[in-house]
Amino acid sequence: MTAPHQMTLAEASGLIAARQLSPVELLADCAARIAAVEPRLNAFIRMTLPEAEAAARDAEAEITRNGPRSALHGIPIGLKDIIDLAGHPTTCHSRLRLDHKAERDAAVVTLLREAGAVFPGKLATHEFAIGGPAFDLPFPPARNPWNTAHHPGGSSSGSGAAVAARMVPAALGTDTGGSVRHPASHCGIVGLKPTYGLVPREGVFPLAFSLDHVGPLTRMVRDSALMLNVMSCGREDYTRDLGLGLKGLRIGFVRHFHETDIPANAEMAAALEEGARLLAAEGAILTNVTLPKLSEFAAVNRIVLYAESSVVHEQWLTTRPDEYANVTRRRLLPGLFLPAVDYMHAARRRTQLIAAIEAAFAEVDVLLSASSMDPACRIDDKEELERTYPRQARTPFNVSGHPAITLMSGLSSGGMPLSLQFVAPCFREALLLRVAHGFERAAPWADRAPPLDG
Amino acid sequence: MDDATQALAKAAGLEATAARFPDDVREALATLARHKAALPRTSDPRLEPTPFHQAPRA
Repeated sequence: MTAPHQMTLAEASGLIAARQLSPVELLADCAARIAAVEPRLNAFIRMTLPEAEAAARDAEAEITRNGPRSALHGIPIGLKDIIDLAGHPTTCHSRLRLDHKAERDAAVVTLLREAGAVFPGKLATHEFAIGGPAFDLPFPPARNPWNTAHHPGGSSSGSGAAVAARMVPAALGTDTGGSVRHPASHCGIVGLKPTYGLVPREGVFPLAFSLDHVGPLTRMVRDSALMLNVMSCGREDYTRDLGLGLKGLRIGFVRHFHETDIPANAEMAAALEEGARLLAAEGAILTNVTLPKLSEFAAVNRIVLYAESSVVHEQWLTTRPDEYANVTRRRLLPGLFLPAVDYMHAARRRTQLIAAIEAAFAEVDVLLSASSMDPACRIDDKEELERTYPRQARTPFNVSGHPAITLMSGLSSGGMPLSLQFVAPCFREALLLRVAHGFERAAPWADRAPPLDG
Repeated sequence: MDDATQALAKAAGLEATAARFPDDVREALATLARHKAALPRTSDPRLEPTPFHQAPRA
């Protein structure tokens, strides 16, 4: 049998349901994996293994008696450390929150706990989901399992690293300007940002209220569907349409995002073209779609983010500014200088941007676009980090609230993951996951593992 | 730090922060200016923000 930590969520879940794998055994194997690779990755900032072990024992007993409560019963899930886990600090990777203690679980954690998931630890993030990667914080930044000299993306950096490194089969991240999809893109895994409002945010430390989303990071698309079944409070069965294939689906390729708005790295651009070719070979009908320029989406995203984050951070920025990482302070300060008229201009333009995307969905079923324009660079190359972090096409769908998913589309010549992104109309996650699953089957990059064991 | 920047910092309640991190304040203002320049501004009085309660919700 495959080592339990190497299994996808769906594989482990199936074996648990068949009583061929114990949740205790799965957690123990994940814990051993964490012990083996964590010193190179810094994915976790706090382990909660004793509680997780007790929950796994309870799960084992209950499954033996009554069968599993859900596909997540007995599955270890990592939590980005801006998400409350009762009885533990939610540090937000910041010295400003070291003395915090969560009194109750975040709403999404409650849903996962009720479904039987276990929580082995809290994962690294960029400070307050915006400031990183940074070396002047109380915890080191997470590293990329494909090359530990490189960054893993962010802000859900530990979530991406932990799932890609097979430390846990799934993790939660948050996405305000792309922070689930960025680490998924750079770590070669699946990152899903659901429709705004589909997954509850209560108990998740806010960055920008109207842009924040909670989403899963997993190895495979089916795993994301199983996570969303629970995280959306059982709204529908998102695995339902996974096997329907791509034949006849209309896919709008937003080429100008990576061809002219922000010209992509040549290997990333080639992988996007190859992805489009594979989709067409599976029977999808591809057309080009034009949306407003990425620079407009980015401006709206940043101005709204500055305004909304300023009310969260105003007091600390005025009284304890030296306790932030330098990069966090620089990224949050603009909000305190933002005139109300600029915020309103951004909010009004946002209405037009949402309408433009809605209009595109009158012509096509889903959109295809770049996610990142470059593979992940070295984590110690400050200039390249500053240059490449904004070179992305994820923020449009935080501005609009549409569901979006990123997955691996190849490897660069330097051995780093390449990626692409699909986007669907609001609340059409079943369709989004169907398309992503169809691509995943046509381009089985998800089978590739980072060379950590080599 | 020039007088105009100091005045902005004072108005924002950031005098002490600006004195301690003047480069960060200058960078914040430059960043804002860059994003404002990329933002189309319309005088159409009918255009309204999308309120949170009209954003997609489950």
